[in-house]
Amino acid sequence: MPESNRSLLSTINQTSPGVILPPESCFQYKIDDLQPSLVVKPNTTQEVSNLLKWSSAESQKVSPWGGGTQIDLGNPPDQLDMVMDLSKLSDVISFQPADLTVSVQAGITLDNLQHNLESAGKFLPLEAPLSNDATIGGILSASSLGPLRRTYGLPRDWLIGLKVISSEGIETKSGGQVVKNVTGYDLNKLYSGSLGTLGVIVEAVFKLAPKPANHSVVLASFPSQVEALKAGQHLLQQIYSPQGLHLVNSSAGAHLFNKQFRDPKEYKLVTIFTGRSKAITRCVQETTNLLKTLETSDLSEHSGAVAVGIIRDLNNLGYTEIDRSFLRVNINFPPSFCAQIMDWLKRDSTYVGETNQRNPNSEPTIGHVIDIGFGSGSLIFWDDSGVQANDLLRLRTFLNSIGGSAIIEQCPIYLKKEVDIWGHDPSGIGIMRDLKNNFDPYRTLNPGRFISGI
Amino acid sequence: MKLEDSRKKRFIERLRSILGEENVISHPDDLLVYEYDGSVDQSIPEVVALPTSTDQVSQILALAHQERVPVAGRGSGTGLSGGAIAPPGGMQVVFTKMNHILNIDTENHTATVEPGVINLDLDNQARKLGMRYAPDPSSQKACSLGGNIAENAGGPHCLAYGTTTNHVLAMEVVLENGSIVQIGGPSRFVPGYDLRGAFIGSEGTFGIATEITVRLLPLPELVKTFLGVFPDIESACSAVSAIIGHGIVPAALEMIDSTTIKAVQSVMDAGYPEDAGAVLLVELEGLVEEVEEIDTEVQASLWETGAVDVKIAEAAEDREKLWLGRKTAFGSFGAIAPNYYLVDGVVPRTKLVEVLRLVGRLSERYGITIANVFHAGDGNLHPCMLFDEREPGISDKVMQAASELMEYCASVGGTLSGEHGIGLEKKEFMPLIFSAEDMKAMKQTRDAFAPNNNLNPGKIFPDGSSQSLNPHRDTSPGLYI
Repeated sequence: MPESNRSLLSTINQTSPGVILPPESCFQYKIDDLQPSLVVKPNTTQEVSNLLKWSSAESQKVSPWGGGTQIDLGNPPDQLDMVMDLSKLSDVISFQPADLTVSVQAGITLDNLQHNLESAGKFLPLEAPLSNDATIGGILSASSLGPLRRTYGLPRDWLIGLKVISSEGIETKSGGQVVKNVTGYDLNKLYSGSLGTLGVIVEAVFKLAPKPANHSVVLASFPSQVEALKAGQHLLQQIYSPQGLHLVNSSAGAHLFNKQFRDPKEYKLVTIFTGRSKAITRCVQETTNLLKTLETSDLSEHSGAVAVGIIRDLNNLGYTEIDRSFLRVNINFPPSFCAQIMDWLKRDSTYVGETNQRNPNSEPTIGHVIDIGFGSGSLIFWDDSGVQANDLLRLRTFLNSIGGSAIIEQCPIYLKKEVDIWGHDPSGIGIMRDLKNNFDPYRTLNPGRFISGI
Repeated sequence: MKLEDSRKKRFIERLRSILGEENVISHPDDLLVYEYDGSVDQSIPEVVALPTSTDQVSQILALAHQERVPVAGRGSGTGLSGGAIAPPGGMQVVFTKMNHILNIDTENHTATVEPGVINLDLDNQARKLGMRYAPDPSSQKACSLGGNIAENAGGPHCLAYGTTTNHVLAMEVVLENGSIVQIGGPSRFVPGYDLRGAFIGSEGTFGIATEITVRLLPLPELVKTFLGVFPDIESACSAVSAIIGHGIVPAALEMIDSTTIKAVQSVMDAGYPEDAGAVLLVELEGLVEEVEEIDTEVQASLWETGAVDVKIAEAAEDREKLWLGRKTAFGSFGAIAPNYYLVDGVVPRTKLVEVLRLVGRLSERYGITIANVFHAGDGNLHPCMLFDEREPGISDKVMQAASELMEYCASVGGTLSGEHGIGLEKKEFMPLIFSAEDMKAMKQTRDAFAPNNNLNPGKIFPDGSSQSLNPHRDTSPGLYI
């Protein structure tokens, strides 16, 4: 251990005993193939500030850590000295049901927060895989999305205030406690989705929604993606269009519903409704009536806990220990290009496409879950089917050509070293680099992990 | 500071060569038109430029950057915090000639527009295709999308649908040095820092948007508007708490107090009872089943909190009539007093009663009539202080009352501005909300977009140069809150 690190250790130990985890914990906090030499678990915002002051003075590179559920997102760090686990900052600071706002520490898990809100009939419309472990700070930093993104939008849309500690240990706030606010610049937006590269989020304030009275899911099978897409697009045009609508191929479906599909070409349409019961009853009725007129089979309706379970499974697909994906690519695109994208994926002769023509007789091994209303999707590889960097780059080039993007979310390190996980530099990259320079001039926080190596 | 004559002459000549003779205004009489926006601030620009393309905006910004001539963008000039007021010695870039709707995409539910497009014009075009543009500032008949971006404009229906920032997908922006940058994109999620989110509401200090892509929403199946008539403003406030507390977030929830009711009814019949203490406008939207279910709960909340009458409108023309009084309220204040000063503070919704009591006390203490017409559902107040500039010492009293009100908002966890922006008007109050370090982070953000601070300099941040209340600003129709 370098001398500088030893002095850092002794300072931290003196002022905040117990904050430094034993050295044997470090391997549990690996990011890609890098293991930190130090893991700290601060109990207070002040400790976060002190730790960052010390680490910046000692030129230590720091990665913030929430529940670790999305820690694979990002390029490999340029350097990793300290992981800062924020899971002890897990309090609800203030919850005002009548104001429909809540203020929390960043380390609280989403499930724990929802549990707190539930007693007062309120709800925070955020979603994240493994919400039992995923923390608010992590969800904001990674800009996590779930099956209801079409209705809930991005996490930034519910965020009204933040407290952030800068890389030099200085506490700042943005926004406030009120639901409408144009006082000063909206830095909440800047920190959301910034992967902890601008500062460490320690507190967040959200506006809330009433807890939905009910959830329903309608499942329908189609002989191919063309029919499934047509049905989905038909539903999206209706006044009763669903809050979430996903096309699921047989590979993803087999994992999701725990059964093999009769026909590997089969596609499932997963239609989600949430809200007040009477409205949902009508939506489900009209949806099933419409689907019955189409080439569908295995039409089924689910509500209550079963529906919630399907939504949760869709959210967790490829993230749990038993079905953890080998590689996951999240794609974004304008919804009108859905047919072209699905067609490209079908025709593509590589390991990214659905039909693996390098082994044309095989069934699809790559799961496709496409949100046709929002314009996004996940390509989930459960095993190393031989996918190469070039395959991913061709997919990305295609998506870029239609105004979309491909973010490689889970990825083995050998591929990460060949492919930038975010894609090529966007038009505003100069501004983004200057933002990083202005906020974190010594590149203390998550160096190299964000877009363009920021 | 003013531009020296020779420098100014050369600058204007170069502007003319870029924009053409007809698109540069420099005669002092013509410039007077551009002296004001909707706020109390004023400043005559040195020159006004009327570009017709992004390329022209890029060229004139590069020129201004090179010549160190500060720049302010201006859409329709309806803003209420001085955002469009030219900086001293500055150029105003006015977007009235960039007012085309470039595309409405019915498949992706988006529209791409130039910054000078009027908010309501876009909404009307979208409605013809079964969609709408949700943010609806009260000034929507006049305000521009570019101005909406700069101020992150709100409006009554932002309660349910969010403000401008929730509806913009992509922008082409010109930075202070003339470079053109695309921020956001046609997909809902774009990798990288959210420059679009940071840009919206930056009050014209980060850059100038020259092309804007917004999301359009489908039209609801059913809309119902309720007018709850209350004996006093406190019972109307409890109705707001009851509705929100029951887990209902209506599409809009607007409060109109007795002073405003009288002013409105004196210029038109909006159907508001003149003896009412306050009226509450509640709008519900959605599927028929959803609206019908909430309808019962809203009516119950209104009656239980002391409403003396509840009117319900479903047909578009009946609903519009109920809204007409709300939308023209500001303009009707001329019937009470010739001058106004408006506060845009926000409080947590549960503090509405307390803050309105304070407004009443301030009105009594300083002898100023204060009308309240505001976005109650968001906790966004609009106390409008009405006075006659000819009364000696009144301006100081108005400023004192406004300061006390903003201090109170800050003390209960609220903020200075909900939708009008800080601009020139409220910049000295910023330390009530933000520490020096908070503001430093904001300036670091601005420096990434505009390191020379040549766009709208002197706004948002305190510098001790805040303008005192200009006593010549008149209440008149054509003003909106």
